[in-house]
Amino acid sequence: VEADPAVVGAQPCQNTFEEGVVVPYTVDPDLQPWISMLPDLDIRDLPAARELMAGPKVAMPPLVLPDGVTREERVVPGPPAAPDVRVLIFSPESGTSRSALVYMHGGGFVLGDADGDQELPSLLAAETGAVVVSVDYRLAPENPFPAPIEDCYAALVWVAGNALELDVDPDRIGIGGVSAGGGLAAGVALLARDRGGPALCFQLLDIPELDDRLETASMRQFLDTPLWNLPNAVESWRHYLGPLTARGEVSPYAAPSRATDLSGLPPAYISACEFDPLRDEGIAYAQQLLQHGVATELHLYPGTFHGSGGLVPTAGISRRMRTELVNAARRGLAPKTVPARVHDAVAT
Amino acid sequence: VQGLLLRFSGLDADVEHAFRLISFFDVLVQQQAKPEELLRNAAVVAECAVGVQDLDGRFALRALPDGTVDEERAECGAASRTVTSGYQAWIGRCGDSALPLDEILLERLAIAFIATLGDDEATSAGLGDPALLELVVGQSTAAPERTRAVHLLGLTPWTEVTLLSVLGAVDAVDAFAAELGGGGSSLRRAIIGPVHAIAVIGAMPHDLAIPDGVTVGVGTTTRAVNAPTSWEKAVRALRYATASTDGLDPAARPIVYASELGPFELLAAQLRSSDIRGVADIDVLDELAAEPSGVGLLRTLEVVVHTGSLREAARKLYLHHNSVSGRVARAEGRLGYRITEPTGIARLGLALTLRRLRDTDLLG
Repeated sequence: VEADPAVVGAQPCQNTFEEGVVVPYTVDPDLQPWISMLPDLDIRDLPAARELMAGPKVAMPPLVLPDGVTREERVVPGPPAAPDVRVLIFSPESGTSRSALVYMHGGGFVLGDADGDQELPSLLAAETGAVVVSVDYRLAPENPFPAPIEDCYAALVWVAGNALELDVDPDRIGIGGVSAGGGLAAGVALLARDRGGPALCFQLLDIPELDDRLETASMRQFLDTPLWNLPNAVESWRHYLGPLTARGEVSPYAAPSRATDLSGLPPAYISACEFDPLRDEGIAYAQQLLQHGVATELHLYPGTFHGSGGLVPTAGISRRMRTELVNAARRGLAPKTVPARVHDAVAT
Repeated sequence: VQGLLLRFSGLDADVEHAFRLISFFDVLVQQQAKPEELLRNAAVVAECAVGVQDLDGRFALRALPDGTVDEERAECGAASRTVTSGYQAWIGRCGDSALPLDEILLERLAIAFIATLGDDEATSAGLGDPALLELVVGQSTAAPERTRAVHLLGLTPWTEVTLLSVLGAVDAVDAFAAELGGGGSSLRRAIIGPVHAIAVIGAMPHDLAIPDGVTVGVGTTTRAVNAPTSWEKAVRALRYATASTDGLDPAARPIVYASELGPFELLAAQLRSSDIRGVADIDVLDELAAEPSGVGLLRTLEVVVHTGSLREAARKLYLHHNSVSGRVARAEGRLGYRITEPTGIARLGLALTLRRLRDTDLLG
């Protein structure tokens, strides 16, 4: 249909650039009808939001594992003096040399679990041949920073330390996640670099939540975009940072956008959605990575909003996003033949 | 936050959820979604097979919750809702398995479907659009597209139409169409390849004068959704039509009805020009036609075959009996068999028919 990108009609969905100037969101036509089927997710009432997520009103499509992929539930050692961490392991058929991807679900650091987000990790296992380990990290506000990211780091350490048992090439371990999971992935990559932890070959940051300062243009502008918007972002960071917020001491491992040195990080894939308040922090992080010599692939998808790819998987734009993501993961986790970079030759 | 969408099966039929569902379909209508897109979205939101069909088996479109669309009709026992235009929307669950919002969904689906078939503005702007009629008669047009084009032509899928295929100069064809349509809006026209296509609402009127130089093949009268069949038959009939040049040409058959072709329809349907070669009888007829007065000779042979008698042929051609006998004898000498014997008439008739089909393969 060559329809004009029409005004989103279902919900009062508009934003104010300047005083009195109302700009409609020109959401992709394939996505538009579905906006009316989005629940009113407002994490300012966190118990209600969690009840909604767990309740019968919200879709949890029955998982059909792709051919050849098996799922296993494991409990792995947690961070020091902390409980063990539950992980879901999606294994493709054994190959000669498998890569691994440590994966984190989304949910603004306060919602969701590994069981509620199995489609993408199982797809990644099937399409890239990687063993995908999805981390059921603890959630804020009950467990604020650093508990969630330390759970993810512990899972990474476990994967690297058990590469032999997992039949995984220890030189091809990547980290990735969606939304808050993407923020956790970027944080774990920083942690692993600074602690001299497991070497990572790739970071997959799908619509990542990276910056607690909430000052980018997209964050200031998108007050009522579907699913994710400034009010939710404020709550998300308030819960995740906990007491740190008040003291103004925010670690770059919590909010990777605050990191001043991104050199030495693994190659990155970053995706951003046009009508997502996280758009500009994703783009900015890609720029910073590039400026620090990190190979980075950045995709900005027009007409999309936060999570639209997973919500309306049949839409053409969602299929494009999925294909690009899978291809990037496949490339990022593939064996490297010539690791030398031009940067090394010309720098200093 | 992936997979966070309201699930139809978890929703009550309260005002809020009804409103959401109505909004869902409203957006699709505003977008002027195609019928397939409408059905696909409806099946995904319903988590169940849904479809739209007419009541007499001519049109059906079904979508499954995985997003596939086909032309199956409703499963037995599906709950359905019929709207005034004669379309029926259905959903593949009923009774105990029915969900609170199913009825609202059916109503919105039926109404949205009618809306996606084209609004008033599009209908008036598109009337007579040649591309639409081409879509309607095209064999490769998908059923939903055909239905949409039928509506845009101002017809319904069950409007009775007769397709005509017409050859001739544009002015002459226009004159014929004017007489046929009486100046009203009951005709739809297009040009397909070298042939004019005309859709007549209802049956073909009889006793029409066909202008000189024009030939007409008349298809069967059928519902608009089956227009491709009528068109196909019209084109087959046209291959047997011959234009008159002076209005009194006794050999001319300027209008041929597919319904009267009998077994000859099969030949026109199956034989392309390239199929008709290596027949010695036809080669001889070609030679005769190329000779001086050959055209007259061939016409005489046509009339002889048509009437089955030299005497009758002579009367029709306003010729003396001996003139006809002389021409027939000349042809017999070249063809090498007796035309006036029953087997000879049949053999000549078939050769003339094949020769005609060879030279009238318009849309091969």
